[in-house]
Amino acid sequence: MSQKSDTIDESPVLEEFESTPVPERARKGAKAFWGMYAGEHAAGTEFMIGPLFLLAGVSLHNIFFGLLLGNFLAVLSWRFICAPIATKARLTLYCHLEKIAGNRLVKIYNLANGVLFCFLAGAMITVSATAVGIPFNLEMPAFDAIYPNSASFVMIVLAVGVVISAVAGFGYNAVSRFANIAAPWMVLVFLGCGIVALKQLGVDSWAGLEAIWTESISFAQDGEVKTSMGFLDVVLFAWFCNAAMHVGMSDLSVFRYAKKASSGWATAGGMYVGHYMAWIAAALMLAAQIKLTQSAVPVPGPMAFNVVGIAGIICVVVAGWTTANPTIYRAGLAFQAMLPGTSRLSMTLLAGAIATVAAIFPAFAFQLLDFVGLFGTILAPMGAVIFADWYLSKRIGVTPFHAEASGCGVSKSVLLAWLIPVAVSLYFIFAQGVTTWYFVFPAWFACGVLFLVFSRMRGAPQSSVKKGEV
Amino acid sequence: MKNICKWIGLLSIAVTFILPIVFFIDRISLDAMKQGMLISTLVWFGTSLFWIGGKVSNKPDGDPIL
Repeated sequence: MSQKSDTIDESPVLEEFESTPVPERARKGAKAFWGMYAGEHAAGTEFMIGPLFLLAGVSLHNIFFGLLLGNFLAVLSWRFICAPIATKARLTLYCHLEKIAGNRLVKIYNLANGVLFCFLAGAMITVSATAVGIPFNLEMPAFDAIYPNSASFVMIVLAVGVVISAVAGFGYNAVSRFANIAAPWMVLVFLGCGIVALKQLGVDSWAGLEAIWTESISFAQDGEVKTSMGFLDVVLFAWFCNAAMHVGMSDLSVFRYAKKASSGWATAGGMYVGHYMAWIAAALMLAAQIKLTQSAVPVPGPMAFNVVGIAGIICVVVAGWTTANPTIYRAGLAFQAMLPGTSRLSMTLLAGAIATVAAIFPAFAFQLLDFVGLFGTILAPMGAVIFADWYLSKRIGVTPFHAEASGCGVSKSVLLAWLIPVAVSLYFIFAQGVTTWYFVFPAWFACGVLFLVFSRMRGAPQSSVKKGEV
Repeated sequence: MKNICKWIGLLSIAVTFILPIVFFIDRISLDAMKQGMLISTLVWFGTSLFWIGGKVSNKPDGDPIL
């Protein structure tokens, strides 16, 4: 872990093909993507999301079938929206968007990414800290807590945050390798947690499970059984919790390495392992905790310890750590792009510091469902710009890759098309209290339409720049 | 050495999978299962270091920021 900062620059992942299409020799078959997605989506946040469904009063039927459908829609989005463009353009989102939106606007978008990544990493640090705190008998914050509940909680979060940030800054490659090693083990521990929790619940039938599930909701809601998430909510949440990656096109950067667009099906590995099995397993862990300890606080460390012991604690720490690491690193790169002349190391440490401060406030972790929806609402609409530019711009007489053709730094068409639907969505979310995941698709769709309308109004002549010739 | 570590590692990961099932069908106690999970975890990490990801590969999972 004491590698020099230039270790980061040695990573071929970071250096190769950042601004050029991926050549044929570097392309990968579908097999590489199945393992990658399955491992990447068994993350620390899965320990939080599953239990939050129980606390939201979601019925067992809606969890099993809503997640089944929502995850399938997410897989379709990767396969038919993101992967086809990725395997034709073979560019990162950054490069692709720069050609449409201009380099300065991409930096602004990048900054928004970076800030949101910091808060996401903060939630992961909180998750890890709940496990680290167990040997110290740390009193966990209550579910509705916004502020930390004790000085010891703050100290442990700070310690975990400092270690994770330092490792992200100095030892990115080492943690990447460790994440590869941990991934198959984590998936099996998640599965084991679910099996053991099921046993602890003492059920032998679907009806029995439903009954004890309803009892758990009733306990968590002080005797009531009310739901704030119906079937549609579960479907939309599962579909759009990774909206920035599929319809938002962030995974252009991943699938540009794929030989064929059909590799997009590999995302099913991540969705049905991480966002189906792991969420359900984590939800069952909370139900088992309620039954055994009469505690409905969805803190991952103690929940995992109850079912599989110290291996569970290790799993929570590793899951949070291995996912917070690249998240902080990527946020650091975003900040560096905004502040030319700064080093990657200093910006990674800055991102880590922001994430650690965010982690002190447990509300970020406990409100993860809303935060993930907000993340998609803000970032995903830019994917619609890429989609519309790729498939529709020529058909309506608009110049594809307009910024590249005209040399502009900020495309007003893209800026307005992005800001208007996002601003409207944020108004409804914060001023009217409407649930975040309702706005992801409308904002995405509106952004694409507005981009075409504004581009058409601009009336630029058809450029000689052709799709695919990048 | 590498092969031995690989087989021990695969065995430990299989044990990680099997132990919760064995507990589910009442063949071992919760405490025994927890201890077994910890041992298989330590064995997995102890052995996999020698045969998984010897160097950082050019795998498509880490594009900076976007």
